Amino acid sequence: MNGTTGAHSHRDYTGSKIGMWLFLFTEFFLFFGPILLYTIFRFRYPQAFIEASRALDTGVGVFNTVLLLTSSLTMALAITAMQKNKKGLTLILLGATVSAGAVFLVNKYFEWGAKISHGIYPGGEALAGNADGGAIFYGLYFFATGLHGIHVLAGMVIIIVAALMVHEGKINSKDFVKLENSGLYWHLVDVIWIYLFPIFYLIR
Amino acid sequence: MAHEGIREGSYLSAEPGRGWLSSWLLTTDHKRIGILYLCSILLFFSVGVIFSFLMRLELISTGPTIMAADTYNSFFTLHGVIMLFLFLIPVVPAVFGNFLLPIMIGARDVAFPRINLLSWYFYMAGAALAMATLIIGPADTGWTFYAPYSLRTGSSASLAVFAVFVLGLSSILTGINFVTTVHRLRAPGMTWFRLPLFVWALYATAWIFIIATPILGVNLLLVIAERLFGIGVFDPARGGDPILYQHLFWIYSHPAVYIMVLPAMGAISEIVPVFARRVIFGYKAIAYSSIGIAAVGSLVWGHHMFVSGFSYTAAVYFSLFTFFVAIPSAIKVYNWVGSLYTVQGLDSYGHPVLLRAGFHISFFHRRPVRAHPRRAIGQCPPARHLLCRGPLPLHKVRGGGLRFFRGPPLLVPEDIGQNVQQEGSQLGASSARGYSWPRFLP
Repeated sequence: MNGTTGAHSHRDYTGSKIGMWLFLFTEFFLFFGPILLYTIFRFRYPQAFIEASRALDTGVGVFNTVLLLTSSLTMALAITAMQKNKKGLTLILLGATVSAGAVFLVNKYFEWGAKISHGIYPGGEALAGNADGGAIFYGLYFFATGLHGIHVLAGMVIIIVAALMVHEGKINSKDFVKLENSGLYWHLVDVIWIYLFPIFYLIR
Repeated sequence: MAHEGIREGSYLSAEPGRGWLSSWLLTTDHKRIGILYLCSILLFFSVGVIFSFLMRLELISTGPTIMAADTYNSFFTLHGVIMLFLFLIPVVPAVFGNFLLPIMIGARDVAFPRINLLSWYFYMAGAALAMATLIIGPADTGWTFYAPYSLRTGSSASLAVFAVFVLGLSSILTGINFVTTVHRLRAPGMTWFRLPLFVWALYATAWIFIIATPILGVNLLLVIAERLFGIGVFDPARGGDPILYQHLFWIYSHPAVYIMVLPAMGAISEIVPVFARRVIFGYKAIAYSSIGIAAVGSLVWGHHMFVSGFSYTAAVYFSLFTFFVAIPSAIKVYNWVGSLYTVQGLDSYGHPVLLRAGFHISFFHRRPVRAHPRRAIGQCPPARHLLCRGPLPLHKVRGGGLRFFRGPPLLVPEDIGQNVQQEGSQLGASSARGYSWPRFLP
C-alpha cells in the first residue's frame, strides 16, 4: 500500500493477503445469518419450504451456477495471464468475468420479475396472510439472493477498477496482489452462490 | 518494508505539502488517526452524558418533569447508541490501540494505514447518521432495536439501525488492521511471548471485531429489510420469530462486552507491573486468558435472554458457559494481585494501583452482592429477578468497569511529564468513580 504522503509506502504481499482473507471471513459471517435462519425455519416448516421451493426455476439456477463457476475460471486465468505479463489477454479475461457477472444479474432480474408478477414477494398478494412458512421461504430467498446480488455488483465494480489499473500499468507482472485480492473477492461471490443455490433450489 | 520520507519533528506538526486541516483529515499516520478518534469519541461521549443527565433530571420526580414521554424514549435510545457504539466499543481499541499498538511492537504504522483512515471516516459517517435521527425523527426502540417493536414503531428506526451498521464496518476494518499488524509487522525479536500484554488484549479484541460484528451487521440489515419489505423472519404474523432477532443480536453484543473490557484489562496488566516495580506475575497465563475470554465469551450470549423464554436446556447451557468465563477473568485478577503481593509499603502503590483496586472492587467484589454477571446473573433464576432492575447491571460493568479515564494519563509518553500522569490519573480516577458509582445506585 502506498500511503498518500509517501511516508508509509511498504509492500507486504503476505500481509495484504491476510487482510483480504480476514475480510472475506467477515463476508462469510454476513451470510451466516440468513443461512442460520433458513436452517431454523426449515426445521419448523419442512413441508411449506418444499412446496415453496418447487416454484423456483431450477433451470435458471443451474445456468447461473455454471455461469458463475466459469467466471471464476476466467478470473483465475486472468491472474495467471498477468503473472506471465500478458496484458491484453488479462484484460480480455477480466472482461469475460465482468460480462458473466452481468448476465447473472440479468437472469436474476427476470427470475425476480417473474416471481413478483405472480405476487410472490414479501407483502405480495400470493403470500399475504401466509403464516405457515411459505412467506418466510420467499422472505429469506429475496433477502439472501438480493444481498448476494449486491455482492456480485460490488465484485464487478472491483474487477472493472482492477482492469483499469492493469491498463494503466499500476497492476503488472511484478505487483499483482491487488488483482489477486480482486480475484479472491470474486471467488467469494461464487462460493456464496454455491451455498445459496442448493438450499433454495435443490433441497426439496 | 521500505520506508522513505520520515518526517522531521513531531507527528503533531503539519505534514509536508499540506495545510493544517488537510494534514489531519487526510493523514495516514496511526498516531494522528488515534488523536482524530480521541477528539471525535470525546465529543460524542459528552453528547451522551448530556442525554443521561437530562434523563436523570426527568426522573427526579414522578410524572413529566422537563420532557414528554416520547422525548424521553428518544433520548434513551440515542444515549444508548452513542455510549455503546460511538464510545465504549471504539474508545480503547481505536484511540489507544491505534496510537500504541505499532509503537509497542516496533512497527512504523499499522498494516493498512489508508484503511485505518477509512475506518475513521466510517465512524464519522455512522455518527453523523445517528445524529441525523435527531432532526429527522429520533428512534424510540432503545439501543438494542428489539423486534418486534423495532419493526413496527413509526419513528425513524431504519436510519438509526443503518447508522449502527456503518459503525460496524468501522470496527471490522480496525479489527482486520490490528490482526494483520500483529502477525506481520512485529519488529525482529518481538516474538509472541514478548508482546506487551496490552497488545495481547488488543489482538483478542480485534478477533472479536472480525468474528462477531458481521453477525450484528446482517441482523441489522434484516431489520431494515423487515421494515421496508416485510420479509417476515422476525414477524410472528408471517410465521417468523422475534426471539431469533435476540439471538443474532446477542451473538454480537455479548462478545462486544469483551471488546470493551479486554483492552481495559490489558491496560491494567501494563500499569500494575510498573507500580509494583517488578515483572508481571504470570505473563503467559494473562496472555492466554485474553484469548480465553474472547473464545468462551463468544458462547454465552443466551444469558442475556433468560427472561425472553427459551428451553431449560438452553438456560443450563448458557448459564454453565457463563460461569466458565469467570476462569480466565479470575486468572487475570489473581495475577495482578500476585504482582502486587511483594510490594513493600503502601506509599509505592500510587494512584494507578488504587484505581485498579477500584476496578477490582467494582467488577469482582461489590457486584456479587448486587448483580454480578458471573455469579448472580450467570445463574438463571436470580437473573430473572435482577434483570428487571433498571440500568444497574449494564452500567456497573460497562460504565464502571471500563477504565477509560484512568488510561489516558498513564499511557501519555514519558517526555510529556510525570505530573500529567500522576495528577491526570488521579483526577480521572476520582471523577470516574465519583460519577459512576453514586449515579447508578438504585
